[in-house]
Amino acid sequence: MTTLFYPRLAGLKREQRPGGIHRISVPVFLGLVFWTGLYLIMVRVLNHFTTVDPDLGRILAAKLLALLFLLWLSFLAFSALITAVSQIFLARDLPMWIAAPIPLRRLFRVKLVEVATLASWTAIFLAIPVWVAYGVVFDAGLGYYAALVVAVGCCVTITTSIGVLVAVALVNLFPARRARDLLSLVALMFIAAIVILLRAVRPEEFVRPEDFGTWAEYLVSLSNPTLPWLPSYWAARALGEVLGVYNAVHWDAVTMYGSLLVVGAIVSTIAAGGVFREMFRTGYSKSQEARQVQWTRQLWWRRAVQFLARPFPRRVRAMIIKDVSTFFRDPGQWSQLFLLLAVIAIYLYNFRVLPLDAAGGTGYLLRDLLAFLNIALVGFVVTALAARFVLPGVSLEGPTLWLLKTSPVTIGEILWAKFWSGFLPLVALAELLVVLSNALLQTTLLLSVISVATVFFLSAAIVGMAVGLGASHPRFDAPDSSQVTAGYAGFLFMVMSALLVLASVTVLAWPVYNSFRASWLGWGVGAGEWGGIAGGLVAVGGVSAIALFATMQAGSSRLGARER
Amino acid sequence: MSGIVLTDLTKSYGAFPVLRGISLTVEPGELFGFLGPNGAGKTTTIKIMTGLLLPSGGRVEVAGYDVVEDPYEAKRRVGFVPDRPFLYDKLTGSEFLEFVGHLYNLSPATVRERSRDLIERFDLGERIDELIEAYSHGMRQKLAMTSALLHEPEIIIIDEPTVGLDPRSQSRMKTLLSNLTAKGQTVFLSTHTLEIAEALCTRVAIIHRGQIIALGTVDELRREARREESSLEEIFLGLTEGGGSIGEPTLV
Repeated sequence: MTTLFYPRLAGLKREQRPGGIHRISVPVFLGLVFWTGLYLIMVRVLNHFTTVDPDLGRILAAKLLALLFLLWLSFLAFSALITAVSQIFLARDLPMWIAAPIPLRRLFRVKLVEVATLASWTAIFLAIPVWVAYGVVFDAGLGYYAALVVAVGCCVTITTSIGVLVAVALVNLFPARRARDLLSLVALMFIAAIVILLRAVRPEEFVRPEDFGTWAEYLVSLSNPTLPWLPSYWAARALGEVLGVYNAVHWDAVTMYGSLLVVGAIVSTIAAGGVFREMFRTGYSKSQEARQVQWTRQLWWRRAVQFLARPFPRRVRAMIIKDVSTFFRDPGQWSQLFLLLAVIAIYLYNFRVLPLDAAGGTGYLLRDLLAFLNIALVGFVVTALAARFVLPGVSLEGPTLWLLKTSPVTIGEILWAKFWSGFLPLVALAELLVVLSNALLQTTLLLSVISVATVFFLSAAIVGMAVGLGASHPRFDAPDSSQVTAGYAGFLFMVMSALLVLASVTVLAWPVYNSFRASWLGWGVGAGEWGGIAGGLVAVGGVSAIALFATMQAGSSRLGARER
Repeated sequence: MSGIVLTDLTKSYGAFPVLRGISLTVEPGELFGFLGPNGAGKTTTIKIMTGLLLPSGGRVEVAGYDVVEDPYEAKRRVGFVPDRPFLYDKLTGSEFLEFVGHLYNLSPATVRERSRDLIERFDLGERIDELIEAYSHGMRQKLAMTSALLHEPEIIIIDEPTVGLDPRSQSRMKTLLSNLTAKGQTVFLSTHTLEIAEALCTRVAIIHRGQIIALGTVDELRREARREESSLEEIFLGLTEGGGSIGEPTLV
């Protein structure tokens, strides 16, 4: 068993070695800043709940915990499914493993641990401050943290097992299709699941007490369990009970929901193991079947891409066309576009159902605030997408880098080609999100202009950082792009990008607030306010330009100096 | 036209010296064989000549340009075929050639025209519009060779030219290499296949433990080694099985 983990562990060890403590100090520091920020926000929200109305506050805290676990579990489930398909059917090292005399039972265990680790570490990292905030606000003892470890472990095991099981089963159920078709199916299922979950949770009702006949009905509605047959509810309920969110600790409930989690983890693992042993060999064989004609090889497609890349110099154009063509022919890459569709759908859906009218005469305050915070949200969406699609670009170039390095192309040209291939679609998407959500919110023209300009700057900086950091810390040995995103460069990028987004919004907050206040009070936006906004935008543009060029330059230097 | 000039080239990986002062000159139009046992420093030398590695010391001039000082001009004049050419699996053969042609700033019409000829010469026509992921090792090798010749380089550097090629393709490769030098192009060939070196190369160098231990035509090596009837393989084995110890150059 240990032998099978050796290549990955050795790779990790090698990745950690150069630079020693200095190499990890920056991301650790940035990670701590992120954790602290999220922790403080959660503590403030939970304290607010409990101080305004203790009874309602506890119900809201329990509801929020269930909702957060539901979102966390959905993320985990999708991540596990995608990772399972890539690790079990598309990973580059698979032929060697399958040719070796390794029993299927052992291969399953290794793949289960691999998928669980790769699919869950980001989700766990992001959720830690939330869980700790609950513990602190509700004055939890060690029992809560012990229960948390068990609950999280069970949730990860359940989602991973189900991910492996579904991936293996689907490849067998659809013999005529290859893995890429499977991935698109998986993505469609995920979109459907998200829509169903959103409808089931109905988050908009939390803030619409007037829709209910009485206050009691409202409380009863909030207290109703949300999707009680999902492990997320079992985990949230068990932890809520340990925390005493439901007024007292009900050990029978803790035992029941805790048992459900543990039994669920064991049963799902056994089931996944059985399916894996029975169906993996035929599934793997089918996933290697003959190639199909692809629409990206049609003439109209090639002409369209060539037309779009026309403004660039010949060499950069050639690299952009190559990047776009290879992206759309790699199922592991393009199928993730469905994730993008899911993001857009959920994003805009949330804006559509926001109860802005319920806020009465102050609805415009909420509207302006949301439109402003929307800038940061779009920044985070661009960050997530750049981490998935742009950051691994240089690493995926690894085996073919000899060709670029021996041809008369500078490293700078290679990186700028990667920048433009990533920037153009992402900035278009980001601006689309901003414009559509602002239209749904019916915000002022001023705020729309500020949003559009800021998102443009941020998108350029974020894509530049993804390319630059991906080039500074490439992983040429990574079997697929998800492992590059999950590596050192991915972590560093996500934290730096989050800080840039937060810093930009912070810089703009004061001048934007001043201009809104002037407008709300009927004074009109004067020269001072205009100057403040212009200054804020110049500052954001300047910081973004520095982030973009500094990371691109660093990436270019480091990749150029790399002797491989 | 200029050839290749290596002057006192050294390279160390950390404290471990891989190249210990290599000097040699390859004349324009020459088909030069670079031989040596595994780990002798052949690939390191080639990587430095093609700009994939930086030397620790010394100088490399390719087609009259220093590869460290003026890499852009040097690379424009070099075509390189590695021993294991990793290509873009998701491009078709023709798309790959178009891509490489544009990297060398060739116009689409030039790429089309030159590709047509080379594709025919390497027998790639039937499958040139298939994805590279469907190609065998030999076909990849032929496609890599085609792409390296597309910009009509002055210098062609090839690491193991016949690995994975079927007998017919090997024969065509030999003819092609001879034709290239006849047209004035310089070929630098690193190989383990000593028959190819013996049959094709105007001169050969044998590198052992980071040093050139023999340099000249095959006949010169025979004379120097006092093995008039020996094959290149026998000379090679004789030199590299202890005879060519470091610091005691045998024939150079």
